[in-house]
Amino acid sequence: MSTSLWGTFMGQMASVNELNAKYNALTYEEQKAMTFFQRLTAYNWTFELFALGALFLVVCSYLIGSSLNTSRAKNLFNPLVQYLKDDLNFTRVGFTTASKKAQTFVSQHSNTWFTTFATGRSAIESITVRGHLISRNNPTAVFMEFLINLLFPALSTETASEYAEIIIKPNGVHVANETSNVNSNAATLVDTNFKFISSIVNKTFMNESRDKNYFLSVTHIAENDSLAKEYVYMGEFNQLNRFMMEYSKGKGEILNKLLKKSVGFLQFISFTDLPSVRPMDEDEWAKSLVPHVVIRTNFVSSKKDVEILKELISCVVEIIDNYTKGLVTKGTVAGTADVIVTNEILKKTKNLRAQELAKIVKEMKMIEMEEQKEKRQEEERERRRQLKKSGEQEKIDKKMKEKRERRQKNKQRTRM
Amino acid sequence: MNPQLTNIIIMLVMMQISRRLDMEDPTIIFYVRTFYCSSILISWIIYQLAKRSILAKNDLTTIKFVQPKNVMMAEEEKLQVTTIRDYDLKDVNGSIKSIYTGVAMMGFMHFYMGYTNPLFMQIISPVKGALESNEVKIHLFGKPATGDLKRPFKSGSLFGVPTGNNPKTDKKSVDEAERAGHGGIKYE
Repeated sequence: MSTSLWGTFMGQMASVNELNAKYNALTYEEQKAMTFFQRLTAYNWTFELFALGALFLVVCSYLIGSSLNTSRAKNLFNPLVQYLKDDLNFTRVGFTTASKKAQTFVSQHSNTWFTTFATGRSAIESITVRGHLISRNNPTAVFMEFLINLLFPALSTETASEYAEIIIKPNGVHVANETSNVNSNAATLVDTNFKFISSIVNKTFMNESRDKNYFLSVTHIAENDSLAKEYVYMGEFNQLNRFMMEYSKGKGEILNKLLKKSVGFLQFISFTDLPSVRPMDEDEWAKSLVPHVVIRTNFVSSKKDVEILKELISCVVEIIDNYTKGLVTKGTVAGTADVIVTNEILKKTKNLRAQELAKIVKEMKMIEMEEQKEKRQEEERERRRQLKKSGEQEKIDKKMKEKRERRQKNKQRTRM
Repeated sequence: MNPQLTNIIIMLVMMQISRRLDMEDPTIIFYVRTFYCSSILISWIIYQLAKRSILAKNDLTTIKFVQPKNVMMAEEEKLQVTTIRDYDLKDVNGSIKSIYTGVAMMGFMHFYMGYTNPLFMQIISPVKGALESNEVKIHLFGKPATGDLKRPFKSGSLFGVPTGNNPKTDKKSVDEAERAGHGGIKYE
């Protein structure tokens, strides 16, 4: 088969060479006698034109793909940035370039990754919006990724999908009005009271979300009538499941309506302090424990979907506002009866983290032991190689052989 | 009767018939091609009808089970959480994909390698496979999803001997897998 494929390929190459058979047949003298224009017209330029055409197509596809991605990103990021600034009252939104020019979002990796950032608001440290689009500027790569996805789904990567991720970090600051002081225990509030996992996950993305996010893979899955039927709760403990419903406006009524509207693109909303990538050691673990909220969606660009996404972000911000307000006005969680995140729950979540860390440490130790064992084996092999080289091994083998023979003889004597 | 056993019987019978046919005869080749294409088309339509029924029912009941270890892919036991709709769709789409793969292989063997025998052997099995598929039984024939048709489906065995590679659904295994924390692992 390979021979016939090679034959076909060689046939194609021969037909390309055939295009200029006449020109190539001209002798040096004949070519010298021709004018420059005559030489140009005598040469068959079909192959070169074809190559140029292919190059032109590559350039065109790059430009079209790039502009398509940028336009989709603009459809999402521009209204979002405006909303964060005007409606959610963030002081600083977007970026400023070196030339002091305001930029709503930055694009990286040939317009496939987009990011914007907002900060400067009570209860919220920052909002980071990240979006990923497939590399439309490189249709060949897209096609190959599609093929891999189709034939070997296990090999599919994060870059094969399009998504938007909104990460909101709380700061524990609550100000009742413009003249009131900022609470001094903000950092402590965040460190102690935001350490739990409570999520609402779209049923269509349950498996995928748990596979890709470490914090979801340590949670229980629960269905409840209080939640739209297209979603499930994923929380560390069942008591935490109603957290978002409890702190949103109308005790979850509005959130439920929003969830129903966003069923086509929302993947999950999660309050968590654990990272999405599983830490590999104690240091990574310590660094990665940051309370935050993740809203993960498909990459939306239609006006209608962006409007719903804005409402979702607003709803989550409101939940953080209300929870922070509750913590500040009622003191810490301890002693308050009506809140969901009780001291007991926080104790349980702390235990779970300790267990998870212990698991990671144990795994690390196992890996280290494996590595040391391999190293020892390699050293032993190396030692044997050296002994063999120097002839020492033969002496050792001889000695061992003699020893075995002596033993054998001794055994025989004893039997006799 | 066990579907795999009947497959073997059909294969043996078809082999005997194919030995009596002149596979070089253009008329026979034409009929074999026609039967094969019709068989593929019928099975494709059956799966599409099942798919339509799954989408129409839109059953969002959650199912959890532990996928056994995959030695070939070096994968550990893994919790699978899905809805009945998504589980069924995945199953039907897998079957449809296998039709396409089969067609591609047969096309290669028939048109490139010049064999007609494999085409003839595949005349009955696509339709038989489609009619015996669990999804078709549930969604087209209206059989209740209990016993052998209970999700997650158990992998078939030749003489009813359990393969030991079936998904686990007991509460203990599911609970353990649920909190295992195997998500978000970045492979380098």
